[in-house]
Amino acid sequence: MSSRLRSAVTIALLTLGCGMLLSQTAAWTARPIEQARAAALRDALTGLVDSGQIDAAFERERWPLALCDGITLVQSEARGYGGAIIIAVALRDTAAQEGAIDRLIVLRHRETPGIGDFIEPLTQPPWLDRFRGATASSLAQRPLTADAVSGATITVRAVRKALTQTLANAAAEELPVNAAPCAATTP
Amino acid sequence: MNRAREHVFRDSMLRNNPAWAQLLGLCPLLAVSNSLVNALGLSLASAFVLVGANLSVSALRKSIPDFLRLPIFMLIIATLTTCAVLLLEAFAFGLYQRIALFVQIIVTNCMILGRVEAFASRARPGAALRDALGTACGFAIALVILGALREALATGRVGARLDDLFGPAVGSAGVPLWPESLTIPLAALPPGAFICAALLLALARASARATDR
Repeated sequence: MSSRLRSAVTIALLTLGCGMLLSQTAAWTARPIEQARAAALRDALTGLVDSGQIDAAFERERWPLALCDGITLVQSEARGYGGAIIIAVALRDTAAQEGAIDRLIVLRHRETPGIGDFIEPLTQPPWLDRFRGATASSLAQRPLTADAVSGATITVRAVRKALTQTLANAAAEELPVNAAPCAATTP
Repeated sequence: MNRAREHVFRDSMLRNNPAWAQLLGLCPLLAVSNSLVNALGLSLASAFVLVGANLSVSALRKSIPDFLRLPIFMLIIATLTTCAVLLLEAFAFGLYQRIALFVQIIVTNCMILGRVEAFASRARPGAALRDALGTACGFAIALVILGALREALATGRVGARLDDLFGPAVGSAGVPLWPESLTIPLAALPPGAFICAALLLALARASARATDR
C-alpha cells in the first residue's frame, strides 16, 4: 500500500513540477509571441493595403474596412483540413456592380506542411493568384478557376468555399466603400 | 576516467550516431533538412529537449518506480518540447512558421526516448549529460550536412534566412555558391530528401567500414 502511495505521490509531484514549468514558460513568452504575431500580421497586410492604412487594417475588429480606391477589406473563413483557414480579401466594385476579388492573402491556417501549405503567404502562392478578379458569377460558372491541387482536395475546396461565400455576402450586404484615390505612395 | 568520458561523448556522436547508425529520428531529419536554417533550428530544439530530458531523468532515476517510467519519461519530454515550441515562437517566429510541426513531434522522437530509457535512466547526471550532448551533436551534424547540401543543390546558395534564427545582424540572402541555372529544385522536395539522405548514409557507412579496418 505504501509503495502504491509513493508512486502516486511521485507522479503527482512530477506533474505539478512540469505544469509549473510550462505555465512559467507560457507566461514568460506570452508577450514576445504576441508581438511576433502582430509583426507577422503587419507584414502580411503590407501586400494588401496601402501603406497609410495599415494601422487601421491592423485591427481586425474593424473589418470590413473601406480602403482607398473603392476597395474594401473583408475577412473570409472556412474549415480546412487542419482547422480554420482565415483569408484577408480586398474586394473592388462592391458598390456599383458585383464585387470582385482584387487581391488576397491567407492570414492563418493549419494545413499539413508540405501538402496543404501551398497557400502559405511565405511561399507567395501562385495558386491563390488565380482567384484575382474572380466574381461570384465567375466562380459559379467556372468552379475550377483555380485547379485542384492533388493531395490537398480539402484545402482547395475550403479556400474556394470561403471565397465564394465572401463574394455572395458582399453582393447581399452593403459593404463600406471609400472611393477616394489612394495616397500616391506606391509607384 | 577521462578517456571513458570522452568515449561516451564520441561514441554517441559518431559511432552510434542517431541518424546514420541507429536510423532514429528520420521523420524530422527528412522533413526539415530542406535548408540550413531549418536544420539548425530543429537541431537546437532537439538538443534542448534531449539534454533536459536526459538530465532530469538521470537526476530522478532513483525515485521513478520502474512500472511508471514510460509515463514519467513522456511527461518530461512533452513538457520540454512544449517549452521549446513556445521559445521558438517567441524568439524566432519566422522559423516557427516553417518548422513548428516538426518541433512539436520531437515529443515522439524515438531518438530521445531511446537515450532516456537506455542510458539516462541508469546513469549519473554527468554521464547522461555527455551522452545527451553527444547524441544531440550527432543528430545536428547529420541534419546540418543534409540541410546545407539540399539547400545548395536546390537554390545554389547556402544559409538563406539565417536571420530568422540569429537576428537581423546576419543577412538573409545566404552565400551564393553557383549560378541558379545549375540548380536541381528536386533536392528541396521530399524525393530529394530521400535521395540525399541515402547518399550520405552510404558515405557514412563506407567511411565507418574504412576506419574499422
